[in-house]
Amino acid sequence: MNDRIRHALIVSIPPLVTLLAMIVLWHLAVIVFQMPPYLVPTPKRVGVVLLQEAGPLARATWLSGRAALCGFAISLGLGTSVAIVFSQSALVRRSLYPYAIFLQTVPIVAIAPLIINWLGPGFWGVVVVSTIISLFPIVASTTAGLTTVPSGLVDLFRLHRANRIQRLFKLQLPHAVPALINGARASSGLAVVGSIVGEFFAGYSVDEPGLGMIITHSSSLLKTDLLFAAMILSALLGVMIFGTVSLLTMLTLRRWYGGVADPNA
Amino acid sequence: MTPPIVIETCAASMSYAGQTVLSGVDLRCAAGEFVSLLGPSGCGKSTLLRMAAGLEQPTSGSVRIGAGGRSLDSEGTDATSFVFQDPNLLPWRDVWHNVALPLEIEGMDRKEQRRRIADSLRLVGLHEADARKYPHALSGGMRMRASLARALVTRPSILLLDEPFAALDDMLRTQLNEELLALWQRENWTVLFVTHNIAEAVFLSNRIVVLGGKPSRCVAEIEVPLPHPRDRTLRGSAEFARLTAEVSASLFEASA
Ligand SMILES: Nc1ncnc2c1ncn2[C@@H]1O[C@H](COP(=O)(O)OP(=O)(O)OP(=O)(O)O)[C@@H](O)[C@H]1O
Ligand SMILES: [Mg+2]
Repeated sequence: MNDRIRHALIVSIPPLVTLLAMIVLWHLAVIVFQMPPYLVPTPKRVGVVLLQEAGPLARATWLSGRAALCGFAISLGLGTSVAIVFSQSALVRRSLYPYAIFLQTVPIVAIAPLIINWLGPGFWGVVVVSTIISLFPIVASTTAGLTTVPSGLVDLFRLHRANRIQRLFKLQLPHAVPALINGARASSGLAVVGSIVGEFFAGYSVDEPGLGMIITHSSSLLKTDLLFAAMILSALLGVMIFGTVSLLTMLTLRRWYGGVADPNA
Repeated sequence: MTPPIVIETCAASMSYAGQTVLSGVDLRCAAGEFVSLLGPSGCGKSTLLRMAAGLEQPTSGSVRIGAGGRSLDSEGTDATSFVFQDPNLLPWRDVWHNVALPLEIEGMDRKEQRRRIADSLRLVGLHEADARKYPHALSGGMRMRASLARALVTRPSILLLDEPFAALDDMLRTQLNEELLALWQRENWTVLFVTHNIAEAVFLSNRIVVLGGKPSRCVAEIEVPLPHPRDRTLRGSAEFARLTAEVSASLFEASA
C-alpha cells in the first residue's frame, strides 16, 4: 500500500510542478510584456471568471460532455459492429474500407455545417459531428485486432471445427480487445473535439450554451478570460474521458497480460 | 490379429507456390504405435503432421486418419488431437478455461466438462492452483502441460505432437518424456511425434521414420525394440547408444 502511495506521488508530482511553473511563467509574461487582457488575461483573472461563472460553466461542461460521451458511445458500438462485419469477409472489407478512411480524412469543419443543416441545431447535430470524427480510430484498430489473430490459434479453432460464431466470440473478439481499447483511447479525445467543434456550428440555445458555444461567443465579444476558462474546461473534459478509458484498459488487461498495456504493440 | 492402420499417407505430396516440399510420402501407423518423425530442419515434418491433422490438403496422394478410414474433414472423427510446437494458449483465459475450449466448441454440458477438465489436468500433473493461473504467469513447462491437457481433454485415441518439448530444458524434457511414455502405455494411444532430438526419439518410439532428400521422402525406418516400461537408466545402456548412433547416421545421410 505504501508503495502505491509512493508510486502515485512519483507519477503525479512532476506534472503538477510543471503546471505550477507554467502558470507562474504565464503570469510573469503577461506583466512583463504588458499584454492587454483581451489578448491574454492573467491566470488570476481566469481563475476569478471560473469562480464567478461557475454555474453556467459547469452547465456548459455538462452539455458538451454529454454530447461527447454520446458520440463516443455511438462510435464504440457502431465502430465495433463495422469492424466485425469487415472481419468476416475480405470482399466487404476491400470494398468498404477505403470509404471508412474518408471519415478520417474529411475536414470536419467542412461537413459540420452540412450536418447541422440536415439535423437542425442542438444536441443530436453535435452528437453526429462528434461520432463522425471519433469513429475511424475504433473501426481501424478493431478491424486490425480481429484480423490479425496468430495463425497457431486459428489452426487450433480449425482443428476443433469451431464454427464462424464460435471463432468470432471465443477467438477474434477477445483477441481484439487490446486493439479496441487502443482505438477507444484515441477516439475518446476526438469525441470531445467533435462536440466542441459541433457546437461552433450547431450550438444549443443562447441561454443554454455548451463549451463550444461559449468559446465562439466569448471570442467574438473579446471576453478572453471567459474564453480561456472554457478552453481549460474542454481540455479537462478530454483528459477525464481519456483517463477513464485508460483506467478501464489497465483493469481489464492486467488480468490477461500481467500489466503489459499492449501486447500487440 | 494385427492392429488396424489408423494413420496412413499414400504417395502424399505437398507443394507450396510451385516448390515441392514433400514428394510421395508413404507412412503407416498401426493403432497403439508410437512413431517418431525425424529429419533435417525444413524438410517438411510439420507439414506432414498438419496434413495428417487435416490442417493442410496434400497436393496429390491421400491422407487417412482414424480407424474408420475417414479423413479429418468429415464429421465424427474427433478422436485425434494435435499438440503444436508453440503452446498456443489463449492469453485471456486461465488454464482451466483454456483446457475447456475444445469441449466448449463441442457443446458438451457443463458438469461433464468439469469432470473431464479435472481428469485431464490431473493426467498432466497440473494442480488446482495452477488451473486458475493465466498463461503469462506460467513457466514454459507448465504452459506445455496445459497445452497437453487441452489436447487430452477430448479423450483422443490418436495424438499428433509437433516438437512439444523443443523449447524446454534437458531436465524437464527428460521428465516429460517419461511422463508421456507412461501415459501412452496406460491410455493405449497411437502417437505420431515430431522431434529434432535423436535421444528423445529413441527413448519414446517403437519406430522412427527419417525424412530427407529434396523434396523429402521417407528415407529410413528404424525399429526400436527396447522393452517397456522404459526409464532413464535405459539412456545409459549399450543398446540405447547403438540405436542412437544408427539413427544419427541415417539422419546424416538424409541431410547430405
Ligand atoms: N504455408 C507455407 N507457405 C509456403 N511455404 C511453406 C509453408 N509452410 C511450410 N512451408 C515450407 O515448407 C518447408 C517445410 O516446412 P515444415 O515447417 O514442414 O518443416 P519442418 O520439417 O517442420 O522444419 P522444422 O524442423 O524447422 O520445424 C519449408 O521449406 C517451409 O519454408
Ligand atoms: Mg516444424
